[in-house]
Amino acid sequence: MRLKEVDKMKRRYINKILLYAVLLVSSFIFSLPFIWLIRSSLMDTGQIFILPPQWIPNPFRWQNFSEALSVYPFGRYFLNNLTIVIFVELGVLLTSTISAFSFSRLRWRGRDVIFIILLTALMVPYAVTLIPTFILWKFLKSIDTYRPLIVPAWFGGGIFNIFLLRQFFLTIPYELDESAYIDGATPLWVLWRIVIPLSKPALLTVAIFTFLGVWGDVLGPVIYLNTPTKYTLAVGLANFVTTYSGQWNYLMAASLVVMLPPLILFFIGQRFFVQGITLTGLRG
Amino acid sequence: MRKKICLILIFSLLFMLTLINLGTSAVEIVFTFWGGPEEAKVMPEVCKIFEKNNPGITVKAMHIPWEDYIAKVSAMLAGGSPPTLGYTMETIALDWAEKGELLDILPLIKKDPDPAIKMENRLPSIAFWYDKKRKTLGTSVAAEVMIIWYNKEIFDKAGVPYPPTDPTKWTWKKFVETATKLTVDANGKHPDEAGFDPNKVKTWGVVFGNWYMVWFPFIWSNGGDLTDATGKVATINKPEAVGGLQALVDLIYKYRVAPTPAQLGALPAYHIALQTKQVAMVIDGQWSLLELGKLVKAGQLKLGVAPLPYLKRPVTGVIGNPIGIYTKAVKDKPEVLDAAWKLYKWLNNSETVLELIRNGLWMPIQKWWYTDPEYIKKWIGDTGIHPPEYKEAVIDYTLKYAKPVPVYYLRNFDKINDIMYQELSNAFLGKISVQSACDEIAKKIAPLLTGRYDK
Amino acid sequence: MKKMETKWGILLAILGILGYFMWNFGPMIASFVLSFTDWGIAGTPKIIGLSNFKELFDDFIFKKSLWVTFYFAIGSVLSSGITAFVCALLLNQSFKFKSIFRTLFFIPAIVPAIANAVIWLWIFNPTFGLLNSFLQTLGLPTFNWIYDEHQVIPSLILMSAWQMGYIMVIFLAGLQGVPQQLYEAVSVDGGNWWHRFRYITIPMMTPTFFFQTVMGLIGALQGFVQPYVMTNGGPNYASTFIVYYIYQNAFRYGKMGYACAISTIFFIIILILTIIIFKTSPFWVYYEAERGR
Repeated sequence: MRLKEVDKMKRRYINKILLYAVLLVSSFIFSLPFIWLIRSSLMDTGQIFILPPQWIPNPFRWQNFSEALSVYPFGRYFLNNLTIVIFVELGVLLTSTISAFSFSRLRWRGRDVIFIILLTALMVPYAVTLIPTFILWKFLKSIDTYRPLIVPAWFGGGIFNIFLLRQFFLTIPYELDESAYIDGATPLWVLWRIVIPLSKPALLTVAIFTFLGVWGDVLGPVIYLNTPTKYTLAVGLANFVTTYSGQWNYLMAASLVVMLPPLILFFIGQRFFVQGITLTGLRG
Repeated sequence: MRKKICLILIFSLLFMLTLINLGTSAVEIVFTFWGGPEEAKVMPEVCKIFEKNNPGITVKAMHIPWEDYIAKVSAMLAGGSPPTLGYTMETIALDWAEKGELLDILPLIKKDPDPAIKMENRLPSIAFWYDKKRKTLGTSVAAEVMIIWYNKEIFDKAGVPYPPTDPTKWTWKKFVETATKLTVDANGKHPDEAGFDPNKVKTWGVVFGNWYMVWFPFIWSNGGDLTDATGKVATINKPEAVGGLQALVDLIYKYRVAPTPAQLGALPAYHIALQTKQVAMVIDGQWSLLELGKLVKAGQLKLGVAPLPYLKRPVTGVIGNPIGIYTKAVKDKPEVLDAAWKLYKWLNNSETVLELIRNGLWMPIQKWWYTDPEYIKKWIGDTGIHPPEYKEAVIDYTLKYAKPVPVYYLRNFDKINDIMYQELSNAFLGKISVQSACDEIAKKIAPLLTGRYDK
Repeated sequence: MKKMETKWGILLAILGILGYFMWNFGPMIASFVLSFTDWGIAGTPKIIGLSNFKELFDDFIFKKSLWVTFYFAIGSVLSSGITAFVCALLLNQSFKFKSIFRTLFFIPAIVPAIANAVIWLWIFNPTFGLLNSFLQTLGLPTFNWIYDEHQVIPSLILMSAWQMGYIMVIFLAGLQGVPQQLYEAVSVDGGNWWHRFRYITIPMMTPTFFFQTVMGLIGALQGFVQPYVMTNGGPNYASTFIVYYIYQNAFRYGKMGYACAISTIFFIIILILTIIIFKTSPFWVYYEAERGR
């Protein structure tokens, strides 16, 4: 008996070591470009591209950060980003949830056909829809405002998010809904009290992706905004590079700073990715 | 009671003053441009000085990131609210002009007494003509030529004489010899010595990018061209043109003084590569002086400049994007047209953008900058960055030997250029012969050769 | 009951449907109509009927880019999907510093696109790049990566695998949704990790896999940044993705009408592909809530 237990413990121990080894090697591979980014942000442009790469900056150019961030008004850009992202997040989370609920847990005629029709929105490249869309917003008198960037988020938040949530909602057993309906609940109540609490990871995913989408969007702000003080962080970064040259050290330093909010948010957010839902105890 | 009357009088006075202000509202024009931080800083300053000299005109200088410039301006144009004037990509400028979106400024030039704006006073090689030379967009806002930048220290150390500044003396043979003496591998061997390892090169003799500003000077230098004079028949696969490109490919695989495209990708930006002595000579544009100059000022680089070597006759290529005035923005609006024309003249008079010329980014466009000693002094005097050879190797060279690349006149050049790039990529990778690449090019561009804008 | 469902169904979906018709439908129809014109953004569109489509038929670049794009898309969906799933499984276990590891795996997705392109140009460099240096130290043969027309697509597929952060997060979320009880039930019945994986995890993950297949394909088929920033579509057209070619025609060659024609054809292809995938879903996708049918 005792030998078997020791054996089991040993095996678990070895498994743990193996796991950590794999994790360490993999995370090193995945974070290598990030390390490259950090070391480049502390160097002079000249040193960045010398091959084989130098991993220790010499000297450490801490002033890259202060200099890069003062070339363009990044403080202002950050506030702009915040404004946009708050409204977009609210819009997406609210409207994509109710849309996904309708497409997954309610039956109505034409539902699946309409779903595929909505999906077609993703099948046309932006290069050809850019100008008609721009003209549309011009007609709505929204050029040089944040409206083109925010309003669509309140109309379903994009079929990507609706599709994602729909798939996730479909993994939740319908019996839960049924019993609630028998008790006289409305679909909204079912959504709010049953489906959403069981979908935290999916909702978090949508929230993270939406955040990253807003954070990294260059084309939207460039096309629709004309006043430089309204620009966003992504636009600021794009301005470091031109056809023939680039201030790469500033780009790297600024990129690092711009990356921090999403990184921190992800780190905090993924803590809520907790294993498993329990099927019992959902009397409501 | 008296107090009340006073207040009413004061308010009515103020009210009348505001009415007067409203009556003389300023004309606002929008100017779009791209560029790095230097241009982003200098252009708005230039516009501010313009505003001071032209009260009643306000300029909204819009800096747009290069990667999305064409998308944004296209959207503005298609949406019916184009900028008043702005940088236009040289590859699409004539197309838009011909379709009437950009203004033909020849009538305006004819009416205007200002000598700086006259076409005959600007470098002829940078002019954008269309409608069989009856209409024009003007010229590039700045000239840029291809030349050779080199690191004098490497030459000194190897005991090799500097390249001549007289273009007629810089023969291809001498060029290859110079490059061979300067190319050195990790064991100190040169390409003409036994045991030379092209995979372990420490310093390359010469380095060049794979694009049309490098191809064309050598195609022309060998007596060839992309098309015939009508722009309708491909001559790129004729021996002269092929020979020009072959000379470039030979530098990589025959003489081994230049890196392969993959090895080129391992090198840092040209100015760094020169400074760190990884390359001795660079076939590059004049605009690099902006970054090279910073190294020179910091005492980190002993810079030299030379014309391009020639195969059969000396020649170099010149390029530069124009500023276009958008027809839709000025139609039926004489005050806007007037304001736009004034700003156009302002920006196209190299005197006002002197800062960008003296810091090495641009070259001026009026002829007198190249011939009048006073202007030459304004250009390169006491900048601390222009090498002593600059006058002969760049200024005189441009005046005498600069030829416009096909973007100034050939229809569909953008697509033709992309096809050339794709077909030549395997030739530069050493996988196919230059002749077969050029034969493919000639075949594939045939339907695109619909002629020239100026003929 | 049915009436209530219909009423609520349409009510809750109305915003999404409205959004589609307001921001997407119009521009889509516009680009469809434009495919029958000759328009260069400058000037006015001129109707030319089916000329664009006839020209497409003979366009060697278009044909090559179709092949290149599908090659890349299928490879990319497979490579990034498998990598993401393995990583998600790995990071779903409980161990110390889980948060840090998860964040490190996700970092590639947060690096700004421009910085990302520069970094990968270094990684792929045949002389001093990371990949070849690594292979050399192991004594393995090196490659030319993006400098070879036969290796450029596999290189880009490799790059996709590394950028699987988004997909990994989706899979993680999917894994979280598997009820713990089901695993316990298998253990109680005497099953081991393989049984748990094969009979619980995989089936419960099929809705997520379905999502990734559809969205992954639609996304990968529209790849654009790689040729635009890294390879210029070469060498020898080997990385000319369709959307890149559409962009070139729309904004650089002054042939927006032609670009729209390409988009129309491409749209039809993607739509048919998507419908096929949807139609096959009853055979392999398991939905706990049968309401999905």
